[in-house]
Amino acid sequence: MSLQVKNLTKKYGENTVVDKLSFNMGEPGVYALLGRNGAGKTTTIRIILGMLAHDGGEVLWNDKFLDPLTANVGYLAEERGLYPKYTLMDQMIYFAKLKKISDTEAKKRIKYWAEKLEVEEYLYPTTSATKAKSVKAKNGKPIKSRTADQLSKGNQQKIQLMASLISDPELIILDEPLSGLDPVNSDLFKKIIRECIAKEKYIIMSSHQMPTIEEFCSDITILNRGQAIVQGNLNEIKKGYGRVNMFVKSDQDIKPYIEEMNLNVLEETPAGYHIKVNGEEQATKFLTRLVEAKINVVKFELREPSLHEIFVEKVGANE
Amino acid sequence: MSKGNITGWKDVFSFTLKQNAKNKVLRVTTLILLIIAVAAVPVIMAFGESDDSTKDAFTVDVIYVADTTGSLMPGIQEIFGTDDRFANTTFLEANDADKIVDQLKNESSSDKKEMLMKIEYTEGAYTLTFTYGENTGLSRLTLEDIGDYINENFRKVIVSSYDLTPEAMELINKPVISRVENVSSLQKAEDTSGELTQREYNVSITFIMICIFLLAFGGEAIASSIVTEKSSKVIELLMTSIKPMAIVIGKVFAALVVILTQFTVVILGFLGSSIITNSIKSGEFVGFRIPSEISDMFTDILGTTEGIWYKLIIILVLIALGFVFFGVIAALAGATISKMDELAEGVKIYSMILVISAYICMAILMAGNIGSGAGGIVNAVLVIPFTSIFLLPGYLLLGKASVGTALIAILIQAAAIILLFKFVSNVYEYLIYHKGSPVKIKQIISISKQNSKTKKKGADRDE
Repeated sequence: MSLQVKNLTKKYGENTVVDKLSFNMGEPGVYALLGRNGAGKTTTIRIILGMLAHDGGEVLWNDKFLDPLTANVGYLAEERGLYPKYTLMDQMIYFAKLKKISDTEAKKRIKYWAEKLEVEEYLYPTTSATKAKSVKAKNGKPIKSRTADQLSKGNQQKIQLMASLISDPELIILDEPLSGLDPVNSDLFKKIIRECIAKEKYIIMSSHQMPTIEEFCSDITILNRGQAIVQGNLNEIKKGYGRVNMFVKSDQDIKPYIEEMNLNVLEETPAGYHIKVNGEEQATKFLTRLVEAKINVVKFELREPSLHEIFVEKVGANE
Repeated sequence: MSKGNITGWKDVFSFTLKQNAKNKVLRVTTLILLIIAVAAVPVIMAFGESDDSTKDAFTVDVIYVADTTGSLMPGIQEIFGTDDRFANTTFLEANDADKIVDQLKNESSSDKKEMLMKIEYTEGAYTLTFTYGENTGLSRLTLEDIGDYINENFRKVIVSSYDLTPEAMELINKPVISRVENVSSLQKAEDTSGELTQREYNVSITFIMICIFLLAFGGEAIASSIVTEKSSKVIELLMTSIKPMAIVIGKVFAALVVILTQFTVVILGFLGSSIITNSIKSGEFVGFRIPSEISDMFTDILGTTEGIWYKLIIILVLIALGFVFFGVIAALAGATISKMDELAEGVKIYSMILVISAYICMAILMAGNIGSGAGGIVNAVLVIPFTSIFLLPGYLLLGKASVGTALIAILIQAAAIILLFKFVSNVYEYLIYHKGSPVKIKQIISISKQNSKTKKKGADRDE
């Protein structure tokens, strides 16, 4: 299986919001689409899913034009949506039906995901999930599955994730999946994403949470004003920068030594100095100088730039 | 309309229908309407007694009565001979109806207003045939009025003519059919003059009013249903499984089923209430009696028109298509808005179209009622999708429009519905991410054009 996005272009009048964007997913895994707000991530996703007409390019899934109606695609939209007044169970069965899943199979899958996402109490408000709607409460009235407007934002998001995964899709598109979640729910979502990776799903993820992207994604595209400004394997991109980020912490004043070597200080905090070096040679020279001067070095770290740093540098430079 | 575009509409339909059935507001509304329908019957009965004695006498000098049953002439003399409305009329027994017809044919003086009433009992029903000569100064409308009046009171004639034995009671309850013939043709010619009797006018206007009520109520329900997906933002999730056209089709049909079910419940309530009220009034159980306006019209048609059943089927198809047509226009109103708050503003155009269409039809009916007709305009109005639902079913039933006209109207209606569905889906798809104020008509047209172009470009590219 493979996903190929070729020269995707979208214009609104004279304004090009996605400009000849191309990327490939030849293997299962997570592909990240990054960018500032309005960079064109969601527009790209909508075009991939055929929801938005485009002005150029093509999207191929297994070398054929991607049709979400025939390909098994799961989508968690950035603008979360559920019917506010309909019961969650009805909605889930409906979404499953639209994906051509039988009622019986849908109910099995709903149960599976309800347990995984810890939302059983909203879909099956009784202790026994199998009795669901028929069980009567103490006052004699039947207990119904909850409606979406009775749920917190986080729980609604869980239900939406369930809706996007109910068809056991091969291609999963998650637009800002972790935004607005508390740390516990965020971990829950991450666990599910890990499971999807283990099941060899193709996942496209858009997020502003760089650590999360670094945790899951093998390949990335950073978009700025519709154009890909950084693209490729995340590790390769980082390697390309080299280990140029040096962090030094000392209980003595090291500022004169920094000035002596004319180093570029990115950030000075009580925790230490964050310094940009040319490479490992310059970093080693600086450490040797400190040791020679009998400076007590508490922490010394030389590393590749983080995704966050690459993002800020690249996007900032293009502004 | 490719199959892929509409795949899944049944799922949308059944889901929407199920959710509507669960909707408390809808249930309460239906209950209120049912209560009104049930309560309306006794109220109408209490206040609806009409007094024909206040009306003017008919301007006919002689009515020749050819009674083939041989038993009703005394009753006619007793009931109608003493009736104020026939104060200027003499009822004369005619043993040879054909001779009277010849007499009416050859009649040249307009001063002598004569007509023939032939009474037959065939196939379990009384048939009253009213024949007139064009040269006698009588008009079709006058005869229709006389026919209606005699028909309404004919049971009194039967009661007066027979002893009230069980057999006689059975005869009394047989339907009475009346029809009007012109001696020039001496056959039940299709009347395409567009002229309407008071009864035809009343029935047609009532039909239009019912249609307006249902379409106004249904239109808002459809528009609201269409905007639900956008306002709840669930549309993006749906779009990975289904095309906009399938959503629109499923929702339009579901809303129409809800409205028609609601209407049926109200009608059943009305019928049930009629049976109960009549039973209480008469002290014993009586079956349902269709209001005389409607029963008269039906018995007229059954007595004068061949192939009534296929006409009724055509009428049902016309009404169904008309409802779908207006349903799709309402869906267009829903497609142009993004929030529930904007619903009222969004359905303004729909309401305007509905009211203008109905007013045009009412104007034509009024022209027909005053005997002037509306000429060629009527033919156009009968086949235009916006107006055909209001006028054509009634005209077809009354024999004022031909089956051919109805078939043309059906074809035009079906084509318009398909085009409209495509148009609405285009607009709906294009405006899925629209968050501004409701879109104006000009914008809607340009959006549809633009979306079609982009789609075509995409399709060419994909090829």
